[in-house]
Amino acid sequence: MNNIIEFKNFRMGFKDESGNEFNLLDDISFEIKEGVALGVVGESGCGKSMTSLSVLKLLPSGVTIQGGDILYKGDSILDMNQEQMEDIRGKDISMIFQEPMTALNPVHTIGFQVGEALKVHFPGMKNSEIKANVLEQLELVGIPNPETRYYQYPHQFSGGMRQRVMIAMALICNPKLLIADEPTTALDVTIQAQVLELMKNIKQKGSMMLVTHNLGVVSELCDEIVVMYAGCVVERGNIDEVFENPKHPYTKGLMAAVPSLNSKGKELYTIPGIVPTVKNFEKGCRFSPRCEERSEACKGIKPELTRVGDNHFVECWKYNNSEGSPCQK
Amino acid sequence: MSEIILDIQNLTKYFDIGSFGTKKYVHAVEDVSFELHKSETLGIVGESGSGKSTLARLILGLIPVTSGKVYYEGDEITGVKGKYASKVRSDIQMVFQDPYASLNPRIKIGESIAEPIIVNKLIKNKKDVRLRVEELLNLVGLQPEMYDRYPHEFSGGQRQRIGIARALSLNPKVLICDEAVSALDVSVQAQVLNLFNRLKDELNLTYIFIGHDLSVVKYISNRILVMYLGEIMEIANTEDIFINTQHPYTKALISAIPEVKSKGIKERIILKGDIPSPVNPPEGCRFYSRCFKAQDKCGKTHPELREIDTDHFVRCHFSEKGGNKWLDI
Amino acid sequence: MARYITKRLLKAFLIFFVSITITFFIIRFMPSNPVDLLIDPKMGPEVQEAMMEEFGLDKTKGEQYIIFLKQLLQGNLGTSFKSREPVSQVIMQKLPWTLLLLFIVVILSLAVGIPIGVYSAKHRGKFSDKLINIVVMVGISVFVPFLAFLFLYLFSYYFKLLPTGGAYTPPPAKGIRYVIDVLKHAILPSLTLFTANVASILMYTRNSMIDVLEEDYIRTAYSKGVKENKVIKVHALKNAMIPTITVTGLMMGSMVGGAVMTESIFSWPGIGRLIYDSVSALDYPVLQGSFIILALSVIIMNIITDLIIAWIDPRIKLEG
Repeated sequence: MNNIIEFKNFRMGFKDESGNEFNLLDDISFEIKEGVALGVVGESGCGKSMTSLSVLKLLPSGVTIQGGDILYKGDSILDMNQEQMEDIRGKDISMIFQEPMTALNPVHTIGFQVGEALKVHFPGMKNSEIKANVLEQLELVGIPNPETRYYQYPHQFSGGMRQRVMIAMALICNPKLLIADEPTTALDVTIQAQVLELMKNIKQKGSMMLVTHNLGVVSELCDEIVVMYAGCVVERGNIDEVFENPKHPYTKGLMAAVPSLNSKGKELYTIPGIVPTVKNFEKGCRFSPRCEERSEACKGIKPELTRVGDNHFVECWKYNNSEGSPCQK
Repeated sequence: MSEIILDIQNLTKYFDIGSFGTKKYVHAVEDVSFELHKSETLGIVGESGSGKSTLARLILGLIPVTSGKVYYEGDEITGVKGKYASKVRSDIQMVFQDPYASLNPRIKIGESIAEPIIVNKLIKNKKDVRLRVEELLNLVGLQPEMYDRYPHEFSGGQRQRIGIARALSLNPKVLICDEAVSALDVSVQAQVLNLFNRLKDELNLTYIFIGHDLSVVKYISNRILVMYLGEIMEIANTEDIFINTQHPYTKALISAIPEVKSKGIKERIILKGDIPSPVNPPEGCRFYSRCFKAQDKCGKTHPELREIDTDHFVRCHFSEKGGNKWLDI
Repeated sequence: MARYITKRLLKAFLIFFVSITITFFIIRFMPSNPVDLLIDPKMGPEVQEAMMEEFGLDKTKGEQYIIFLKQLLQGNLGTSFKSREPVSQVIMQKLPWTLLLLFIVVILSLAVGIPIGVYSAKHRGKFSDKLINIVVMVGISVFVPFLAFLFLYLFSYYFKLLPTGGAYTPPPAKGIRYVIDVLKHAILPSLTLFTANVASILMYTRNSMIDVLEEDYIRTAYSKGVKENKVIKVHALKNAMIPTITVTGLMMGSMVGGAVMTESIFSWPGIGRLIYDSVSALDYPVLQGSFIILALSVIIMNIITDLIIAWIDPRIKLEG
């Protein structure tokens, strides 16, 4: 299977007013294969949103690329110019965002906004064709009465409906990859269930990169998972593998901290300490200050990626028994 | 059953949004009655428009009721003013959702916590006030030295702890937590939930815990109250709510939660349509439009809240002891 | 939308009614003898008596008020002390000149202010933006009469390029020559008012545009592959215009009477100059009439502004 997206040792950061350079994302490496849904999970500040925005180069200004590359079907995205990026966006790779309330322009109709990508990427298309396509998409995502809704404005739609509109907008050009940044977080639980169901159905059409902090959502939708902490990938692999046998202390801690419908009574496990800020990142393993299984060496040297299973990788000295590893089991 | 500390009777709140003589009401809370027992944690679950936040504010007297009564320790406190009101207010306190918005950024956090003590003249001596605040900081797991710091220096989880300390400063007997952990990351949420449980035992508190995440509410509550469009749909002990689910809405809420390791096992109920507007609600059952087991009767006749089993109340025409015959439980 | 328009017109009517009532009572309740304020003491006694009849100054305040309203409906605003002409006539002679200036200034301000505001927002923080910012600051801070005199000195006196005052060089020419003459005379006063006003429009557009560009829906547009200038023109501009339109409306409303100093310095025969002259001449009827016209113009400008915004923003258009 071919890789749609490949992150290769991607590093990204920013400079502050005094010119000091800080690192946000460090050595990010993972792939998204054709037809696979990959979940990127982590808590606030782990860099998962930044990672997703990097693919389409939608990062805020002031951000600097500090190393590595991102490949789309083998070609370097970082090398692409503005025109090439504009060509890919909305057509080959699309994105949906977290807040459906603000992600749509209040002064344009839904019909216009959903059809805009077609206008941009297929300039020869007639307006009637575009409209037909839009209506088809609206029906596909479960919007009732698409004919009437076509002429309505975002404020006339509820949160769940707007998110469906976003999905229709993202899929209209049949992209190879859909990036979804916390698509259901701002929605009510029963509405979230509806949208997740919809996303399960559209999954067949291509690859998906789902960014979220909700482990349940990831387990429902995704085939593979990447766990991030403080700008690093700490564990990744096949989702069932990782959930059955989490290896990284952070992954284990995260899973134990979520109250599930079965965890009544037992005190929830809590990871001691708090997430570090950018200026306080540890030189070695960024999780080591909070890690209950840490060794001296973890603080100084950043661990390498180690294979612990068929499709299961961890960045932790505990599993690295190679020569020169500071952690000898 | 321990003594009743709060008795809520037929609490109703309508917001008038009509203009120029037209009558348009938001039925935020409709005829809500329940008892809060000393030392229990009552969880209130609902989505947008359920009225749970309005209910909390009605109980606290922050907004006036349209009708209904609130009794605290046997005395009526609905709409009380003056000295008695302050006494009652200090006994029932609230922890808010947004740890970023509920602290004044210009005041030291120690002073924020001290404010209620000073205003209510609980402790006269300045030094003693400070000692008390430091004691509270310790209680919630923060260092006493943090008294002199400002909100922006703390993380979300820490700010929430400060909010809890402030709520505890008046030695309340009842704490109402309005989505108190919803804005927090998973691992931080676990810390705060553990804190809530510990404080309940140490200080002999009674909680009303409002949330939209059933797994969290289940974890912390002894009893659960399910609200939809301003009405109570079901109340029961936590175990009963899950083992003997009676109301279709409750069943849908439970099934809507995405869980790790439940892929393929869980039967999903996906509700159709959006959450209706609480403006001028329909005549029959308010859940009629989305109920997957609705019958004609449901659209015409409004079901009453009935006790169908010990301490288990349901608002559905088809519930009876032994199970809701339409839910095949 | 229809409901919105109706509600808006009703509100406007109410405001107008309150304004003229206040105007009425200010004049009537001033310490000096109202008779002296409305009837020129230099007129002959018979005329004075007739006027007292006409204005009902011998009647109660309540009855006077009714007469006042009746006269207003008939368009009768009284008689000017100075010129003995009906006030309405005097005002109607001057109003078009002010409106002409207004029209020129607004069109120019929008045509210059909006594009530069957009440019400034796009290049926020860079040198060009900082430069524009400084120029704008100077524009807002400068004392308008100072600017007027400066222009007058430079262009009329020193360089002798432009006329020194008035709306045209008498005797008035005919046809196209007249138009050109008027425009030539309009240049300096327009320029003065423009300098003060374009700054507001520019700043509002810039700041509003900066806010809009931070919005989520702009990122959505980029994520679809829409090019930058299209994102700005199609997605950002309409949203960013709302504060700009509001401030333009306010500007226009206040400029009708607010250009007093500019018009006086350039001897431009508009309402502003009329007010100035009337104050000097203690011509109260004209002042009263001018205040009423001013109130009316501000109200009308506000209505137009609100309607335009309601038309642009579908949230208002559809919900009314």
